[in-house]
Amino acid sequence: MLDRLPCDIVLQIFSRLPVESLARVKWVCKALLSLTSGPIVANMLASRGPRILILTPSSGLKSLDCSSKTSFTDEDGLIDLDFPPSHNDIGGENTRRYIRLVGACNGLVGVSLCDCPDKNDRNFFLWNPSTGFHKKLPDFLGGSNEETKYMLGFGYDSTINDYKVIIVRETLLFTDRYFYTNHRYSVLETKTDSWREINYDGYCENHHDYSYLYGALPRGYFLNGVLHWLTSTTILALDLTSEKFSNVPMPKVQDQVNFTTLSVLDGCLCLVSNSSRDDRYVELWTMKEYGAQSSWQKLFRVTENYGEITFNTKLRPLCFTTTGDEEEALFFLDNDDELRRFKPKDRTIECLTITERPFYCDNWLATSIAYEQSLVSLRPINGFV
Amino acid sequence: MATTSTVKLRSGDNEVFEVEKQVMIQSGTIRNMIEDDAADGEIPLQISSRNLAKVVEWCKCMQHRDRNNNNDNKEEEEEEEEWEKKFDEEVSEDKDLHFGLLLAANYLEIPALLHRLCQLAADIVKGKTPEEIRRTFNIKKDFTPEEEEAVMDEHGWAFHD
Repeated sequence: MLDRLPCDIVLQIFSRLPVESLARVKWVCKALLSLTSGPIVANMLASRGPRILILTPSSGLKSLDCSSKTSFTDEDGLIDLDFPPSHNDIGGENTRRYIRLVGACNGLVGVSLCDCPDKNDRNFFLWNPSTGFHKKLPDFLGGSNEETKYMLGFGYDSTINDYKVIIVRETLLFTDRYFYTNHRYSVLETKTDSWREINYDGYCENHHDYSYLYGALPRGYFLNGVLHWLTSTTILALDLTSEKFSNVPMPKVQDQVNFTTLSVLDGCLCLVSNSSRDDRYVELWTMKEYGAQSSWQKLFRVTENYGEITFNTKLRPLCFTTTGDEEEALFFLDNDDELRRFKPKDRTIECLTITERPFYCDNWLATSIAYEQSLVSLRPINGFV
Repeated sequence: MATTSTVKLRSGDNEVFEVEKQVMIQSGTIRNMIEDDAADGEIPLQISSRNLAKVVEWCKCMQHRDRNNNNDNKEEEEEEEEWEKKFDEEVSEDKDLHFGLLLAANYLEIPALLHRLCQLAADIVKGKTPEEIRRTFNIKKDFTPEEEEAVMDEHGWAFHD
């Protein structure tokens, strides 16, 4: 029946199905594979609004549907997820693994696993949390080197229709007179399925300090075919097609303002700033026109006065929802252990504690990433993706 | 100007249904014909008498319900709910009927019926594996074993309960 109905009726049925069901409909027959792989279904799913992937040390991986009607502060809105879906890929269940969320793009999430957070040998996976699709990528053998800092990124190169995982290694080097940084970066394309290293001298400025970014592996944010990392002085940009670095200008500010976090919201680069004069608020900036410094504008200010909830200045924006008749809402991770929803219109903040932080442990961090609902996978059948 | 208060629908197998216009204006297609004064004779439809009877029955029930919306008649309300429940069950268990009604509701432009039938179809699909969906809807698998094996590894979740 499903395969013989007119397309528009089938799409009406699809619009009533959760993405998990569509992931199964996809493999019923070629006609349905073709229909579910097309742009209409992709747009339909994307319009449902993002989900947030939450990784906590205490309770594993969870997913939150941002457009869910259930109360935000109710933990029932969180769905448990399992990664990796098959333990065979990583050598048994008993191996304790540290998971990092490298980035998200078209509904796929780049995930890195390692035995121990200090070592840099790691396994990489691409994973679609909506469908369970996952693909193991070749291991990255980086050894361990305390002098080296790592930046990770995951994005899509439309010119070759492929996803790329990027590892940038920054090593601090000393000469008699001064010190400088050397960058090497490794690229993995899923089609060639191998790591390729490029020594690139184009980006080699004086000492850049990434240390204020949490953890050893700052995450790159993907937008317009470019990965972005926040450094102390600039936004470092890596074009995934040309594989060349450049800089995106920061906002021009007069006051003593620190930019603490980079993110992508609603298709724009976004920065969080706090003032060194007044620590009771943070401000959210957005770059309306990509690359144009003058287009940076303050989106809004989040102050401590909203309700009873205080916030940490380490606020990480995740996504901005404007779907349907729902009120606009900004989701962010705060203090690395709480998920918050801020509604600019009525200036309310709601809070969802996602991990209990033991009082003796400072290093008890949750990480989080927003991803689209999609049916994207990598292995094609006769031309279907 | 239309003179009668009924409209005559002729099914694909030549059965004629005489129904009140007030009932059939739920169909965008019929409503347009009535408004264009093109509904005085018999309206031929490529819909089987079995399916057309069901569509007419559904429209009557909905119109009755809408008319009585302001009445607080508990008994009637329960009756209607019972009827709808039976309709859902009947359609869900009879794939040919479901299929035929989907096409009919689409052709006759009856959004409420189409929504209901799509929701029923979605409820049937939900939670089923690809193999279960094939069996339910009698769809032939046209992947080769090699193709299926190729996707099994990475989409294992989708194939099992």
